[in-house]
Amino acid sequence: MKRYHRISWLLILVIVAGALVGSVLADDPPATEAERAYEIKATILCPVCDGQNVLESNAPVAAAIRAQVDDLVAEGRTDEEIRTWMARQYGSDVNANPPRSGVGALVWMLPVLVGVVASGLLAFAFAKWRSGREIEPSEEDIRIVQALREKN
Amino acid sequence: MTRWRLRSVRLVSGAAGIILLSFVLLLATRDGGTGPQSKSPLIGELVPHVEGVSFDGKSFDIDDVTSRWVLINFFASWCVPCVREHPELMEWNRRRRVDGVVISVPFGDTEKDARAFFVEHGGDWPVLIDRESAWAVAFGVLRPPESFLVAPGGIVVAKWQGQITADEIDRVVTDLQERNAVS
Repeated sequence: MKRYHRISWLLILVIVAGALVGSVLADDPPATEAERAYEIKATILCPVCDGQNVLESNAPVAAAIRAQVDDLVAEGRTDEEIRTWMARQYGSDVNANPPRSGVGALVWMLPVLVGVVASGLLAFAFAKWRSGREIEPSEEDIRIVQALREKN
Repeated sequence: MTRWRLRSVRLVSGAAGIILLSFVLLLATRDGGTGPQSKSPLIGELVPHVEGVSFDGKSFDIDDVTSRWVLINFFASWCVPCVREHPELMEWNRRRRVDGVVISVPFGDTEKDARAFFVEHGGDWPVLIDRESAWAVAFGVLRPPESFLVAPGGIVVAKWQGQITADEIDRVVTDLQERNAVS
C-alpha cells in the first residue's frame, strides 16, 4: 500500500514539474517587432475604460497609446522602458501585470504564500491522522471493550 | 467548541478583518486624479516639445514662444464641452494677445473635422496635428478637452481636465505672477 502511495506522489510530482517546464517552453519570446508591440499593447490597460486593454478599446487615448507603442518599439525601446513610460504618463494602473514591488507584489506573493501554508497544514493534518491510526489500544482499553461486549 | 478552537477562530477572523480593513483603507485613500484643476506628473516639468505646421500653413515651435504664457488645449470636434469652452479660449486669447498664446491639438479626431470645427467656431491661433499621438501621450491626455498652462520659461504649471473658463486660467496666471513678484 505504501509503495502505491509513493508511486502516486511521484507521478503527481512528475506531472506538475512537466506542466511547469512545458508552460515555460511554450512562452516563446516575440519573433518580430510587430509581435512585441502586440504583446505590450495586450498588457497595457486603457486608462479610461473598465478592464479593457488598449488593443480592444476604441477610446482615443487607447488609439494614442497604440500608436506610441508602435513608435517606441520601432525606436528600439525595451518593453520595460515602454511600460515605465506609460505608467508615468497614465499611472501604474495601466499595467495589466501588477508590479513586482510594493503593495502590488502581494498579487504575486499571496498565492505562493497561501500554497505553502495550505501544503504545510495538509502535511500536518495527514501526519496527525496517520499517528492517530498507529495508536495501539492498551490492555485496559481491550478489557473495557470486552466487558461491554459481554454485557450486551 | 473547545476553548482552544474558539480562540483560533477568533484569531483567524481578527486577522482576516484586519487584512480586509487595510485593503478598504488603501483603496479609499487613493487619489482619484480628477477635478477642475488636476494633478499631472508634468506639472513643474519642462513642457514636451511641440512643433509643426498649423492649419493656416505657418510653422510653429513652442521654443519660439517661451517668453509667453502658453495654453495647450487638446480638443475634438465631436466633444460637447470642447464646443462650450471654445468661446472661453477665444476670450483668453483676446485678453492675453500680448503675453499669451493658445495652441489647439485635435485628439481623437480627424484633421478634416478639426478644420471644419475652426471654420465654424472661429479661432486664429495655431492648430497642430499630433500625427503619431506623441504629444497626447507625452501630456498624458485621457479625454478631450484637456488643457495645460505653460509659464514663461517653459515650465508646465497647471492642468485642467474638462471644460475651462478664461477667468479660471487667468486666476492661475495672476496667482503665479503675484507669487513670483513676492519671491
